[in-house]
This record gives sequence, structure tokens and C-alpha cells, in this order.
Amino acid sequence: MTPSRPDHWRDIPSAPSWGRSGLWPRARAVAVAVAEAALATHEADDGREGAALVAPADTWVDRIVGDYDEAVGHASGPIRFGINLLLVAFNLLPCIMAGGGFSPLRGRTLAARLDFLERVENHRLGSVTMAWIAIKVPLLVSAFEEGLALRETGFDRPHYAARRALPVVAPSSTSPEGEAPPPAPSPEGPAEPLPSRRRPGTPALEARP
Amino acid sequence: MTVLDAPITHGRTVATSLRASCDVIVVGAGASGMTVATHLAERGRDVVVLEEGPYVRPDDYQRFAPSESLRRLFREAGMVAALGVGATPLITLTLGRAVGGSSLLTGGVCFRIPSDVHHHWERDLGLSALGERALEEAYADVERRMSVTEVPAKMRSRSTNKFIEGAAAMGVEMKSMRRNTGADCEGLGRCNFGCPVGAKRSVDRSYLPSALDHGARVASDALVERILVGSGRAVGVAGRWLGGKFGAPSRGFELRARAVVLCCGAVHTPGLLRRLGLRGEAVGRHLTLHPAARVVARFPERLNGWDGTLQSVYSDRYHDEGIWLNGVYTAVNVLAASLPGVGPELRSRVAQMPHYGVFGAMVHDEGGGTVRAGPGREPALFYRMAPRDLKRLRRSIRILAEMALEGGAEEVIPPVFGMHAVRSRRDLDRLEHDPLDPRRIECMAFHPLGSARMSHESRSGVVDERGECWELPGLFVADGSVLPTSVGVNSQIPIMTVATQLAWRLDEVL
Repeated sequence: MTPSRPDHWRDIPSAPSWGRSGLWPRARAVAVAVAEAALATHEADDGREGAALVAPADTWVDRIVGDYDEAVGHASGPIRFGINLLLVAFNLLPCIMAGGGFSPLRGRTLAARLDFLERVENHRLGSVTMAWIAIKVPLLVSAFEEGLALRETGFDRPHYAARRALPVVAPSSTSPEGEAPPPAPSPEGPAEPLPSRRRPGTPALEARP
Repeated sequence: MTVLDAPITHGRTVATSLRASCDVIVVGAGASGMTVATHLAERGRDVVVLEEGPYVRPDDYQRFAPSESLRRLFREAGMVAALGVGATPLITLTLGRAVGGSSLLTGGVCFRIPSDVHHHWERDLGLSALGERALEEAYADVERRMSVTEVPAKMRSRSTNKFIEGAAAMGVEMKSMRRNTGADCEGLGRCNFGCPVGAKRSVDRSYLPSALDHGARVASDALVERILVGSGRAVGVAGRWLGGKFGAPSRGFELRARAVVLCCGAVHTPGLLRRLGLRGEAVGRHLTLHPAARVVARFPERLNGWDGTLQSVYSDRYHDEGIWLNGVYTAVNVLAASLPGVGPELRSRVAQMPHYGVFGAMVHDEGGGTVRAGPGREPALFYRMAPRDLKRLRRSIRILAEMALEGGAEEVIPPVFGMHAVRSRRDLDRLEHDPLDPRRIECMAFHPLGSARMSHESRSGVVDERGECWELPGLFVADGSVLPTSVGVNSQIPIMTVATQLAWRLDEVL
């Protein structure tokens, strides 16, 4: 076989991706119930005892569970099966856990779901906690990745592929709370602004707002 | 143009079966596979690289959000885990599955193998090919191609600087790391999900171009299922193109060559060897992982730990105790997902993210891992943590927590599920010595090694000093699975150095 060896391999596009659902409908419903509880917050963010619990926006939960569903779809058959089984079993866990009551997770109120998740996370049996973490981390990994949720983390770039916001002039030593801090102190002296090295296909350097 | 005439073939778009031949087949396009392929192609060999994962252009993956990187570049979408046997935590593993392999997902950290490890291999195990001096030329070649440079102090994040201050108060000196970013790192703090500006020299940027320019061909989405044997030696591989339309019959390929080089990594190479029927006791055993932990600490001031090089300093102060301290950070959304708490507690912690600093440590482990055939095409991974290593892991968590407190942290979130935050020295003692179910420890691993180890005689290993299988001539292994023990440091440079050496030797005998 004699390959033709074209010089233009750099123009070859990426392999096509396949967006495949990996969750069973029942497991997906459990994932929704879990995400709602795991991301619930109090109505007023003042830490008051007894403040009403509010579920996260449906669109947010749909996006998170959609990303999780696709991630599971990219995994191998045994992992897909294992995760689906784990979710279905997790739904029934409140029924068999001491003090869990008799209704499955999906049938519970938001507050009851939250209470259950808190107990599972701090359970004395490491294997129970481990099973919960195996659901929690992959499910929530895209939760704080874009939009308002990303801003909630204090991340000061518009998106994850954005370049770092760099000061154009040296900032004053007193940085008001809420603004990004000055660059890291360096034993070599003040940090210099990084030179712009814009390459084709990369976004331009964002200006600090 | 037919299949494999193109420099890169996407297996998902191939609708025909294939039979072909070449000089060398390299299975796996990660750090070791691309190293071997590039050296052999540059020496005029006709090389075909078969990779199970997809080819994704750098200018595409540079724009991925972390969760998309997880889906498209990580094996099992980032959900690989070693099942703990006995008193062992569940260990999550980061493995790449794409052209570029795990080199796309590393923090870019570059260490040579510590001298004492080289000496052990050379003197105690009789492996002169893995001696420090024997590998010097290969080290230099890898470091030149990868643009290995020391991270300037000004690129350290404020998160890292806090831990440096704490370490200094404990009398622990931190040293600047070397990384494969040349002078191009902008400190965007997300190297392990693909560098947004392409500063990191993953092998798809540092080796692949030369390999293709010299005529190597790469087929992605190509799953090798078995090694072909003829006249008592390996003569090729057979497998199938992955994907295509869902439910459509997959097309096969059969390639023949003078040498087959397995570079599938320490988790997947043993599977192919076992399917071949190799009887060696060492196949799939003695897997080391470098179990690692990190602590997250809350400081009174805003740190914005994402501004700065992801990994910039290390300390070998505890090397004699089998512990290596590495500065680290991670993408904010991944950090948020792994914070303790649910509901309002989690949201409250997420809102404090700018105040969090992170630092990590890893353990030079004994090798209690085993790779076995799994229920599907992925192997099953088991790991029994030695009591010594569990102690080391807990000790490393204590050291990290102490560094954070000495650096001024208000509280430290230990990587132990259900454990209260650490705020005082008394808490530190409890962290290290109180009874604890190891399965509560949040443990990660990044450097699987040693599952098809090199040996100077056939009984104790899988390959000889040229990387050729003791049981099957013509079949070579050149990935991390040949390293005979854990190395105790980040393994990319060690793996690529050994692969370079093996490629040079292979070229001499072809």
C-alpha cells in the first residue's frame, strides 16, 4: 500500500461526535429529582432558619441532566448499565434505610429529598456515601459551567475557554471586596501583564470589565 | 482516496472492511504511541497508528467546556474507577481516549524519574536499559520536543502562594515545577480539560505533526481486538471500526506488519495480552496508581485560584516517606461538584469559591492493582491499597491541611466524606489517627503503571529490556505498563522517555 501523503492534513476536521442518550427514562427521572434537591436553595439568601426552600429553575436542571445523560451515553455498556441501576436503586434507598420512611426518593417533597441526601452524604457506612458520590459528582459537574451559575462561583471570565482578564495598568494595593484581586505577589517583583499571543481560532483577550 | 491513504482516517466514517500491511503497527495514539510512531516514521518506517478514541482538532477541543471535554476526550466520560478491595477507597482514574490520549488531560507537569528509583531498577532488578545514564539521551529528546520549561514564580496562583506560605512556616521548601508549555502558558488554570490557547505541548501538537509529515497514518475510532500470530510471532492485528450509524453492522480491519507495538496504557494493554493467551503471572498484575488526594481550604481573602498556572510548585521533602506534594487547582465547576454538602449548604460553599485554595499530594504506592477482563470491552480494575500506602495517604492529607492552616486558612475541607472541616491542630491529629472507613476518602489516581512490566528474565515480567514480549516475538509493549514499579512522580515524561528508547532499539532490529 502506498499512501498518497497529502500535505494538507492540518485541514482534516475533527471526528464527528455522537450525542447519544445513556439514561433509562426511569433513571433520568431519578437524576432530575436528585439534581433538584442537590441544587435547592433558600428563598432569601440570608441564612434564616425556616426560610422556604426553592427548587432550581427547570431549564437549569434540564441542561444538567441532559449533559449527564449524554456523558453516560459516551460510556461503555457496563458503565451505562451500572449507572442506571445505581440510580434506580438509589431511588428505593429511602425505603430500606433506617428512618427513611416508605416512599421512594422521587415521591418525596423537596425538603424530604434534601434531608435524605444530607443523611446519605454523612452516612456512617462508607459504601453508602461512596454510592452517593458516584452519582453526585458526575451529575453536578456541568451545573456551574455556564451563564449565571458560572457567575455564582465568582469566576470572572465569560466562559471557560475565555482568556484571562488581565490588568492593563498596575492595580492599586487596596482592592475593594467583590473585584478580582491583583496578580499574585512574586519574589521576582511585580507581576507583568502577559503579552497577547493570539492564535488563529482562539478568542481575543478579554478586557477587564 | 481509500481508507488509510489519508494521514488521518476517522473510523466512524468508514463503511468498508480493510486488509492492509505496513512496517509497524502502533496500537494507541497517546503519549507513548505517538512517541514510538513519530521516531519510527522519522526513520523512514511505514507506520500505522490505530486509536480507539476520536481525533479532535486542537482548535476544537480548546473551545470545549470542561463537561464536553469529559464526554469527548476522557475514557468513560471521566467515570473510570478502580474498585477498592478490602480497606481501600474508591479511586477515580483520569484516562484519555482520543488521539493524544491522556497527554491532552495532564497538568503538563514534567518530572524525570527520581534517581533512587532508577538505581533500584538498575541494581536490584537488573534492568540496565532503564538506568539513569542509559536514558539520558532519550530524556533530552523528549524534553526538547515537549518544550519543557520551569514555571516562573510570577505564574503561580494566589491559591498556590497561600500553601507555599504555609509550607514555609513548617520548614518545607517548595520548588518550581517544569512543564511542557514553553513560555506560552497564560495561567488559565484548566490544562486538564484542554489548554484554551494551545500552550500545552500534548503529543497531538508536539509529535503528531512530525509523524504525519513523515508519512505515518493514524486511524481513529479503530478498536484493536486481537493480535494476529503466525509462525510463532506477532504478524498483525485485527479489530473493527467503531460507531457509524447506531445499530449498523461494524466493519472490520486486518493489518499485517513486521512488528506490533502496544501503547494502550497500563489499564488496556493487559487485556490484549490476555486475549492472546499469554500465561505470564505478571500480565495485568502489579498495577501502581499513585493514589492522590487534595485538600480545599477557605481563606479570608479572595484568591481567584483559577488565575495562574494550574500546577506550578512541588515539594520532595517527604519523598522518603513516599509522599510527593504537588500544587494543583481544577476547573471551578468540577471543584464545585465535588464540594461537600447538598442544597443550600452546597450553594453557600459555591459562592465562596473565590476564597478557596487547593493543593494536592500523591503516594508512591506498592502496586496493589490488578486488571482483569470486564463484562464488556472495558477491563475491570481492582486495587487493594497496602496498609502502608493508606497510612501515607492519610499522612499526606494531614500535611496538606497543616500547610493550609499555617498559610492562614480559616477552615480546611479534608477529602473525607462526612468529616467536619479542620480548624485546629487537634483536628489535624484526628484527621491522621482517628479510626476511619477508608471508603470515605476521596481518592484519585492519574498514573497507572506496571501491569506488563519489564524484567531481565522471563519468569518475573512480561517484556524484555527491548520491550519485546517474552512469550511472543514481534510483539512489543512501549507504554507505562512496562515500568517495573511506581515512579512516585508524574509519569508522562518517564513514559515518553522509555518509549523513545524502545523506539530507537526497535528501529535497530527491524
